[in-house]
Amino acid sequence: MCLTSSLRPDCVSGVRLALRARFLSIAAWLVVFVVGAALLAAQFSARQPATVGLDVGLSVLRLALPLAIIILVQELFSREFDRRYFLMSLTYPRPRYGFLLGRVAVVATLSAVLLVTVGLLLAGVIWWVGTGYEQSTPVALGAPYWVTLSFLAADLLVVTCVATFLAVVAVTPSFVLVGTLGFAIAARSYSTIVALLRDHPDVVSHADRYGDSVELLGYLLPDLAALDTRMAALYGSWTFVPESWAITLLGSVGYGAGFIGLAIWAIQRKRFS
Amino acid sequence: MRFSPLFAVVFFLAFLGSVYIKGHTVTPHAPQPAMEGRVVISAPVQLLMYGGDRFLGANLEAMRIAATGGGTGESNTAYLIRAHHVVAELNACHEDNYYIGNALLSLGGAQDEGSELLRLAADCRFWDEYPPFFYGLNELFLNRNAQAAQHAIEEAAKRSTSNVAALKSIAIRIRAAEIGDERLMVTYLNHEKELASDPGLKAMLEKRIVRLEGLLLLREAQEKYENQVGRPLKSPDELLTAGILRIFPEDPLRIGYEFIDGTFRLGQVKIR
Repeated sequence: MCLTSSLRPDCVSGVRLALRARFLSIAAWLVVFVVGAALLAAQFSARQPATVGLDVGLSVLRLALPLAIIILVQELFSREFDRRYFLMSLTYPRPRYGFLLGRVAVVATLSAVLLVTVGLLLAGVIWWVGTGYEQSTPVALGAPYWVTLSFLAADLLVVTCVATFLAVVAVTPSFVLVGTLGFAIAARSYSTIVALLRDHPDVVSHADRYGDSVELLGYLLPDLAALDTRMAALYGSWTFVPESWAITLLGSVGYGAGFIGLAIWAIQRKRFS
Repeated sequence: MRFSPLFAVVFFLAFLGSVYIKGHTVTPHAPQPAMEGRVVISAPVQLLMYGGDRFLGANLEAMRIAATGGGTGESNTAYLIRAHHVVAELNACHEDNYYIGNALLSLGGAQDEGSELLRLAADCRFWDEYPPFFYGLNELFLNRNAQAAQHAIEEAAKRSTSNVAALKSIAIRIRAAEIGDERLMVTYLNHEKELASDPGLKAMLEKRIVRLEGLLLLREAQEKYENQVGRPLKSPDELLTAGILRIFPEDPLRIGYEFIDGTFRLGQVKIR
């Protein structure tokens, strides 16, 4: 998207702002956390060190990347409004949606580059861990691993879209943090909670009613837990990728696109003071 | 406004005074209820705690078991049962969970719960021969259910790529009631103890081996008694009065052995 001439200035300024927000430093710390957590976790496993290392590495990646995205969104949108940079960036003779789409493209591209970089390093570390102990079920670092990362990228794209909408409508940058994290936790957990309550109704009283209420969230939030297909990489079997992956993927990306539409609508009507 | 720093100092001093007085006042404490076992947080709550990541919850709980599950007694077994079950709920495919859980629970007074872990793992790990194999071993040796054991070992043979012939042979021998060698379980545990790198796990397996050897001693003594007297054993005390045993074997896990329907079995933990 940044290659089109109309968005290029916004993309360039977005990358500069991201670098000023210490994106490289964030990326370096993310690598240290993910690789360190994977190596330490592997030490705790008696039978499957590579599997546990990969599992924990993916978990840290899945938890930390939304934080990096939120920092970028805060820098590229909230700070823009706080510091009144919009007096420059939005006074050009072009529509506001160009500014928004350019910045979203920068956040999405930088987080995708970060995901691929950390993913490569994680795969290398896990391969090295795997050489120390021959597991009965080795991890699959080929296609299943990269498919898992692709689904994670879709998950992060949805998070980026929601964070962008919140950044446009929110008054304070901290609301972007709270709102996006709340959304991510709810969207990633509700379907699993419904499944656990169905299997174990003794966890809460009136589990059926409680489960029905949580199930209603399915009409409000995308099922991001279904996009977590790491079992295919952990145990080397495509069976763990749900049959309905295409509809889940389309639904989730459509949900994110909807929020981008709302964000464009909001920024077109936003009154800057 | 001029006196605001003074106000601040006065109120901070008052706060420090209240902390000092509270720290030097002896107040009778209400008796606290005794702690029975460690806390295990349910799977849905763990899911929320870890940002909706069930795999992270399973891994961290499995690490906690590896680091803290080394005690003995009923409260420790009850803790292990709950913790292993929560891991299985979050990720039934977790290999460490079913493997260590089976070793610690099935021979640690909770054979039903150990077998349940294996059943869940066998469902999730549909390609893996080990969960049904261990399940069959438990059914054969602990539950004396040859038919269930044979089915489980046949399932393991279907899944196996390198041990098909050996597993099929075991299943056939079970059907023909040829496998009566209960030392098989002890041999297997000794092998696992040698492979274990963690000293804590080694010590835990050692206790279970001693417990199992105690059971074998009782079963051998029963067989000897019945051959000598020519009638089934009615009470374990008859082994002492007949002079076959001087004392009953001691269970290092302090759960004991049971004599039910004329058969010695490993005692089970009573979960309240």
